[in-house]
Amino acid sequence: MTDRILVDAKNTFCPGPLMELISNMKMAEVGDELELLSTDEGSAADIPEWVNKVGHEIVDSFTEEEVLHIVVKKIK
Amino acid sequence: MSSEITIQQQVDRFMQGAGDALTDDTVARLGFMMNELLIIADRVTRNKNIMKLLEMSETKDFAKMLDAMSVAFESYKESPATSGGIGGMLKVMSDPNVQGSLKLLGNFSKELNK
Amino acid sequence: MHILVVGGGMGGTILANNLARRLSGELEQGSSKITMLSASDKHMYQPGLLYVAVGKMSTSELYRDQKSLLESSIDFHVDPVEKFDLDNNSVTTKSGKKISYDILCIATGSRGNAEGIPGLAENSCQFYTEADAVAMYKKLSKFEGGKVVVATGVPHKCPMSPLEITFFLIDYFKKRGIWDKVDLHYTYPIGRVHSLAPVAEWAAPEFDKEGVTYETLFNMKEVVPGKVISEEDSSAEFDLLVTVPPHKGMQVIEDNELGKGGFIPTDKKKLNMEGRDNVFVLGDTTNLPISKAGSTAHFEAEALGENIAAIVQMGEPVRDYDGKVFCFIEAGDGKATYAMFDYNNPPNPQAPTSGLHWFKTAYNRMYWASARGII
Repeated sequence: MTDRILVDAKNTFCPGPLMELISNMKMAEVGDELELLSTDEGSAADIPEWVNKVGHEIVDSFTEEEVLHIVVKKIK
Repeated sequence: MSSEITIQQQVDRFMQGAGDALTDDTVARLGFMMNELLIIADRVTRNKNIMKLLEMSETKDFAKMLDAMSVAFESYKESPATSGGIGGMLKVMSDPNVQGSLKLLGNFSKELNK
Repeated sequence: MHILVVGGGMGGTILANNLARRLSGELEQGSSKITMLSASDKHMYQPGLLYVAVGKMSTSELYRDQKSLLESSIDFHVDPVEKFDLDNNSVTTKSGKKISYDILCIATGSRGNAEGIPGLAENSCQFYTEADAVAMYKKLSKFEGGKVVVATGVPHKCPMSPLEITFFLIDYFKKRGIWDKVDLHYTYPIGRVHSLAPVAEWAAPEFDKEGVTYETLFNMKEVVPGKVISEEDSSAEFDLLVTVPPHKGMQVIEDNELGKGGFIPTDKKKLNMEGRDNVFVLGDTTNLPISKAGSTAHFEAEALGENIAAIVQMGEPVRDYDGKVFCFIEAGDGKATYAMFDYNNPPNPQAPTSGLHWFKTAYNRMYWASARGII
């Protein structure tokens, strides 16, 4: 298994966590897992919506010390 | 209705008037000019020689030189033209005002070259 | 100490000038030296391209000689770097020169990469190079009405530009008197019309008012003549496609394997390249999750200027970059606003005013004083 690619988008507002995820997904290989860190309130809903719409996979999602961690696997 | 208007209203009116009078092009030109002025001011204030010149312009000697020059100009206007040649030049050089000015100019260049 | 700045864009120029001012004594004595290597002898005001694309600025206003913007104590060469040898503190330039440094600053920037999406380059107009902006204006001036789509790739330079170009297009078509013949459709990669929530909340009703339709969560996958298809399995038909293309860092960064996509992994506060204490990165070249914008490069350059000068003079940096970004937002109809934020404070943009539009208009011409490190 390859290491998870960490995308630290804590305390960032523009372009924001989802745009960072999309950007990093494009650079990743199919099968890679990306762990996104976000403190943005909207991310909890936005990110799964986009991931499902495009057809990637949410592997894990949890909140630790007020930071949302979402692990996404690139499927295509 | 009172003809008195508050300061805020005056400011608002002024801003509105200024706004209506301005066009993008005018603002762009003003911006351009401001840009050039800032760059010139920056160059001048960080050029040691020019700053020295400006500092010297505040000294008494400099004021004296300007005085002397104005006196010289005045007397030049009033006096008939010299006949020229070496004789004329010597006559001009013997004038204490001219000597003072030349000395100051000499000091000036010496300072600038330091 | 030899400080080498690679890249003569906004970040590199402000940083080099800032350092030259702070280290004027050391430079005069010869104990320090600043060298800049750039790919061009001209400096372009990149935000001006947006204005060129809609006929609001001429191309001649975009350029100045790079040398005229630099402090005379900076040793400037048009000789781009081709090889970075970070282990041996040296670079090799295009002309074959090997240059050693004590401190390296990389500010090579980013570029539009429409080629990254099949069919995008051939079927769209964009405004990230002079040639593209001029071609876009020519296309616009011949446009007589129809479907116009604005589509944005990720990541991109200047997050405000998708909105700004849309508002400028509305203005442009209105001025031409053909607005009633235009159907303008705006698409955006994430779930709202702009990445900043308050900006999105303001812009969406503005779009409604003007009759601009929009679709969010729209990431371009492919463009065929007359149609753009998204990764989310949606599509939009167009007669004219205006795009903010996805961006990449410079090829030289990828070739030297300094960072994926040409963006170098950078410490968000110290701005050093991860794992390297004497290599700093600024502007679009970083992989930081903040706006790729001139103001970001500007504030990073100021923080770095202070830190590098402190390293030269005291051996230690003195401050962190706080993530500050300040972006003007042209809102069309002669009005503008701005958004300012940093790592700790979210933006809180206010309603657009004409005063801020003039400020931006004046700033477009005052950029050169900013590049010289004056304002």
